[in-house]
Amino acid sequence: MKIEMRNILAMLFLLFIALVTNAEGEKKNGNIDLKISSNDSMHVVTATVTDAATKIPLNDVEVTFYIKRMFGLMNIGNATTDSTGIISTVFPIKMPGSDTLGNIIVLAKVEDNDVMNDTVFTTIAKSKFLFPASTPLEPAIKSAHAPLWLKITFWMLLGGVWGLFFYCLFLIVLINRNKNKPHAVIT
Amino acid sequence: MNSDLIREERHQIEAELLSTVGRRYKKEKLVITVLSLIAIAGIIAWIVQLREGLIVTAMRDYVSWGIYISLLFFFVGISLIGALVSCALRFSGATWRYPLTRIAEAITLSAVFFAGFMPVLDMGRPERLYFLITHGRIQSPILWDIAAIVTYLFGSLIFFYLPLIPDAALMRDRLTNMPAWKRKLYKMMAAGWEGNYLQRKFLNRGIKIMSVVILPVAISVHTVSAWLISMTMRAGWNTSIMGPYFVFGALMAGCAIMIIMMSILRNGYNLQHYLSHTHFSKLAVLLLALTCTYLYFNINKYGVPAYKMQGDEKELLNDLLLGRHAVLFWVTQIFGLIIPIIMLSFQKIRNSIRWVVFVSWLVLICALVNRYIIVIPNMMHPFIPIQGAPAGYATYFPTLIEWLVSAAAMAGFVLVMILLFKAFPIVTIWETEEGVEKAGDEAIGLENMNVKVNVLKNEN
Repeated sequence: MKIEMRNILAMLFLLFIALVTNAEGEKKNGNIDLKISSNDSMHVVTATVTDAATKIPLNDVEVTFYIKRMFGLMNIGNATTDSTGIISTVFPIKMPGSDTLGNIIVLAKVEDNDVMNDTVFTTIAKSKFLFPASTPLEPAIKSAHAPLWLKITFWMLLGGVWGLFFYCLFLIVLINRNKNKPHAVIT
Repeated sequence: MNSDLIREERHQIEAELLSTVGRRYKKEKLVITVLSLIAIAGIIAWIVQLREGLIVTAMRDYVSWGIYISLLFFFVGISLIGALVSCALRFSGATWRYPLTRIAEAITLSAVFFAGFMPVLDMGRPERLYFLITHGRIQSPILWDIAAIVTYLFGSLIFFYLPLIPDAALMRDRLTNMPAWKRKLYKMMAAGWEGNYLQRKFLNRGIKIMSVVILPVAISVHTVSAWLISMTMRAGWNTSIMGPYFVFGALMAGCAIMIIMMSILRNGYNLQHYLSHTHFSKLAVLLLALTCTYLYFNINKYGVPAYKMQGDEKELLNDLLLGRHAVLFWVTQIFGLIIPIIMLSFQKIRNSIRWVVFVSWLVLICALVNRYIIVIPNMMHPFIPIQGAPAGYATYFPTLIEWLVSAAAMAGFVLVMILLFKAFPIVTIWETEEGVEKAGDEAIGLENMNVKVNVLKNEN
């Protein structure tokens, strides 16, 4: 029996599709339960990764932890789950918050994993770092507010010069007012 | 001096100087057409820049100030000539300045207007200039610069207008064949001038005050422009010499453009009696003194760090003295300073208007290139080089858009000058008359006046 080449290719393609579909079908939707505790020097993030449907811990899932910063995410560590589905990482206790209220937004991300579909879970911890913005800087050359001596100097100079300009404009008005004056001698 | 002769000479001065008002300059149509086309091309280029953003320029992460800011420094520089002629020469008692004051003030007015415009051209979002007023920090040299330029522009307007009042009255009374709107304008500008005692008193007081005030304002404009760059920590800029370096560079460029402008107006309007050899020769001496001073500043600015060749200055100086900017640097030093100094040292050259004008062109062009040298190479040598930036980000060559916009600014500068001299006498009539009465023709630099009278009589 003669098998045509194109039939072989079609069969191979169908087999590939079946394999891919089957592989994707094996991935599970997972759930990450994030808890934050702290000791004297570190915050500890603990993540429990479970199957979203059965609640059974998932093994061999690589989770990456991030903290939200102003212009992106800061990586603070990653780990792969064992049979308990529990992993943890730490970050310094004086980590500044992700926002001006002092909230540290922690993210746990799963990406390109064979066991679990991509997912992101977040939790919030309170920062123990005091924002310097809460203590306003003294007025200075490099601070938000100019020092008094600079303000006085700047406005005095500018005011003085513009004052003289306006006086000269006033003199022009006087020139105009003094036309046809009997006491004014025409030279 | 005989009073009849003075009256006759006054009559001649008024007739000759008033005749320039509204008169067509030689090849005026051609000049105005070319300049207007350049200005229109520049406006179109600016619209493209506003629509597309600064990406259409060559300005990137390294060189964020290009030829627009170089031109800002150039325009601010040449604007100092008004202060030099109207104030410094006034207080030094130089009587020959009388016929020159209006030309100097017109250069100042036009230059400072475009100086104020250059930072706007440099901005990708010019409407944000409004935030400088609402959110400006008094500590920032940018705020000082804008404040100084606006103050100088307003002051220059007043200083241009004050000595114009008696001349406007003359135009109101004599130029009766002008169109109605022009007569109305001159009447308004004359501010009821009759030349009576009180009016003269107020006018002299105003001019005296402005002469005193405008000098520190003019110096502050250029000093603050220097502070814009010298208050940063960049190599080459981080030096206390920048203020005086800019001021003297400005005076030198201003003096050069004054000579060039005088020569153009002298030939174009046949003002040989009023803008005479004496004026060119005196200004040549002034230019010589200023180029010498500027060379001295250059030796200090570049020579001292070049002797040490240390730290962050080393790379910049290598670039300037031997590297990719060496040709421009040495051209400015040799053709802009050393050759002019040598040439102007000879009295024969100082007495020749052609040679003085030639040297002035050398000085002016090199002063323009020097502004480029001051800004661009320094920006190419930041303390912390940018990591992983595309190769083109570390180089700078202006794009066509930048060339067009900059050329339009230059064309606009000349067009404003033409407009001013179309509407008003080039030489201040009443001051020239006053100078003749007080000091005589020779002292204020007028030449062959009586010969001219005879010629006119013979012609009649």
